[in-house]
Amino acid sequence: MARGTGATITSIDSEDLRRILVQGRRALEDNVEAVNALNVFPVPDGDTGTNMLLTLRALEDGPANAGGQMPPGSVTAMARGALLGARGNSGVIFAQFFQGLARGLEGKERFTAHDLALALAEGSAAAYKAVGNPVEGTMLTVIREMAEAAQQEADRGVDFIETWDAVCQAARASVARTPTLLPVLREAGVVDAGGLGLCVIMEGALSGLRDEELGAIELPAPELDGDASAAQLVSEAFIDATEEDLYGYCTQFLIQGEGLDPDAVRERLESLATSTVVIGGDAMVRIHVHAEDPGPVLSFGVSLGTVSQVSIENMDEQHQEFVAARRGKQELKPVGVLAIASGDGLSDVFIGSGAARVLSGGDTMNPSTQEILDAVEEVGAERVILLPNNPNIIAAAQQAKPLSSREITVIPTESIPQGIAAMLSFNSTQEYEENVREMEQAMGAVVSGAVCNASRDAELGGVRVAEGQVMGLLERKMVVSGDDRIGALCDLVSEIGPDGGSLITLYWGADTGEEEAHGAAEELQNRFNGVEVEVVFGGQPHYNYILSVE
Amino acid sequence: MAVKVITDSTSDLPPALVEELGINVVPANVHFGEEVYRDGVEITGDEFYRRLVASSRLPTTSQPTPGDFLSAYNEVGQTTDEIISVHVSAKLSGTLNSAAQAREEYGGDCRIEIIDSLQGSMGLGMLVIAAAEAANRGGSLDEVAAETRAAVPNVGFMGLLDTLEYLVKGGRIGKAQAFVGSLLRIKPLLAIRDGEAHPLERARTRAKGVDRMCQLVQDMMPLEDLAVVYTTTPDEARSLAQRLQAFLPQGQVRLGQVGPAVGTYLGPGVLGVAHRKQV
Repeated sequence: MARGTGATITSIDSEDLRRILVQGRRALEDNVEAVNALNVFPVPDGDTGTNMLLTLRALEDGPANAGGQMPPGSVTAMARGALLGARGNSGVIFAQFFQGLARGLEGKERFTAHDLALALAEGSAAAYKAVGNPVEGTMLTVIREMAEAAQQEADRGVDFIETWDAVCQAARASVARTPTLLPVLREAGVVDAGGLGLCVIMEGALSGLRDEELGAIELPAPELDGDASAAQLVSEAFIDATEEDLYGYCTQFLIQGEGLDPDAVRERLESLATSTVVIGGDAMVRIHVHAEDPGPVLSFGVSLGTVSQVSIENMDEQHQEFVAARRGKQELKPVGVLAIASGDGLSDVFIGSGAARVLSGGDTMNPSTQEILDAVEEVGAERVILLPNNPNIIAAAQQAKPLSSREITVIPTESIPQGIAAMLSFNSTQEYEENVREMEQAMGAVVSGAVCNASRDAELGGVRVAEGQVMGLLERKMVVSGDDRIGALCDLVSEIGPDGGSLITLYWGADTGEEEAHGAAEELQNRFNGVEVEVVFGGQPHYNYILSVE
Repeated sequence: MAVKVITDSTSDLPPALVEELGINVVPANVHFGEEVYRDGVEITGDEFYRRLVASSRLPTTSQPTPGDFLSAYNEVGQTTDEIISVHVSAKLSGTLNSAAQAREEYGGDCRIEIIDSLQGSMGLGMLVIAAAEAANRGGSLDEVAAETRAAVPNVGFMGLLDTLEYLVKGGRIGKAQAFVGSLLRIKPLLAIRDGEAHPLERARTRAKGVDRMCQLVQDMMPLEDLAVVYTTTPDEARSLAQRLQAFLPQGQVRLGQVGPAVGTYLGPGVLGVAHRKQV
């Protein structure tokens, strides 16, 4: 490496570039699991780091695979290797980025900081072109901001290492900001995996450039809410200023020419468009504006020099997404389900099956209409489907209907098994009316039973039970009694008469042991040929077992 | 020269049919840790599912590289001047990206049309069959492409899964996320809709799920094409195919195995049905 006696160098050659990229690849190897773990966009399949690594290896092998005519440091051959060996979306974007970079460096024996800046700008343009629908807050943003930083640094000085260092710092900052730009990252509380991978590669390469051993790289942490970044403030302010009536096209391009004056360009553009951002120097200016008509803006650009990297995007879509994301917190969902049940386990079953809220209530404590109204509000949906799961609660639920600001539909479920069957046929991607219809249908497809202790002597329909004895209820009607819980349970199921392929779900109550429940399930499986029994913690009071047969 | 059809291995087309229709299949890659296998070439379905169940670490997949597609375009381009390249939904895989990059790189004289099937597995397979049939009838590239695109909205795929685990861990859960988190044992019935996984029903038993699939297929009649696929239960698939035969009076219900690339996300015990409506 053409290294001066001091700590500065003014240029590197392609051999150096390959060497430092190997160091970058090694840095990525050290951090590949961390990068994989962050992968949530565009598909959270946890392989971004691996894909980038495989792409980098293909890049290194590019010259060797080019048929022996290429020198080992041929940038063009490396770019081709990366392109042909690109794995995954992150790999494809990286390969395109490098392809652009290589175009920028083509024909040069040595690369200066200024060459690097131009090449990164080319790489950035190529990367954006690589994806059909560029999304900000991804590796693309990191690449673009790296290029911008290189440009600024190269305008200031000529030291190659310092420029690369500035690029790395920009990459780190950009990676940290990605969650402020991409909602899915913000929700997951992570930075973009591809951007992080690139940042790691650049930092590894920097240590190579400095002839240092590869050390541990401190990974940038996400900037999340409460730590609002400048980028976020800008976009929030922008929304406020423009409210709902934003329209037009986000127009971006690069002008290359001679004697360009960014300030004069900005001034002129401000008369044609809004949100004008103009950066660059006298040889190259990057433009970002929002224009009702991008035509005049582009014509103006063409009058100044060569226009490239043109990107014109319809902003209406973007803007609406922004506004929706910002207002997401107070926005009502279109539909939500409120179930009424008592018992921690049953509550979890309903929530796990997609209920928005479970209101505690059942045989021993029927919730009031007011309590139901409050719970309906807490669902946070415009239309609420209500599962009373008890005949004594249906009336109170119906009463809530005209009193609520929400539209309520009561599915008249009389038991927990009916409620759960209805809940499982709820599908949030489906139309409201379709859901209601299918839930009503589903509640009728199960048989409900329960086993509990009698609180007093009774005789019902020829079945006698003494206080403290066990009784078995079929759809709330006593059909069997006895002294032994499991015996009564088996007699009850026998009354129901399940056929071979039936599924019995047994919800054991707060006063029943898990071991006993599993014993009961085994007993049922032995007694009734071919039935399947699933044991679930219900935690309900009063009933030792609630069961469904379907 | 006749249009040639290229697809990727997520189409799950039976090898005999691939041969018969003259289709070129570019394999995706399946990774068990550091080991990489080319889907359907270096690892068979049965072998894959044995390892899937036995392996403590789940396999991953990677789309064919642009280089893989470039080789296929170069090779096929020697025998034709028009290629239609039909692939798995862009929401499920980056395969289309690789194909597009390869087309950019391709320096030959062949015209290449790339189509997003918005489908996967036999849903994609069925569109590939449609393309191959149009090509074999002697259609031009524009005709074949138009016919294939027109078939996209008529083709669907649904699968009865044993578990959502593989789909979740593989990051392809999509809108079927709505079915995740159940404390009860459920057999999720999913479809591929708008190019991604979509929840249809939560059946409590497998038998009910199968009944539901049959019902849904019947509701779609009249049908042009129908196929049953499986991951690990061929006998069950065969009997489902027999049941469904009643809904395809004019033809034979196809039967095939889901290959390793798609199987990575579906897991063992899956029954799937691909269908193409008559219009």
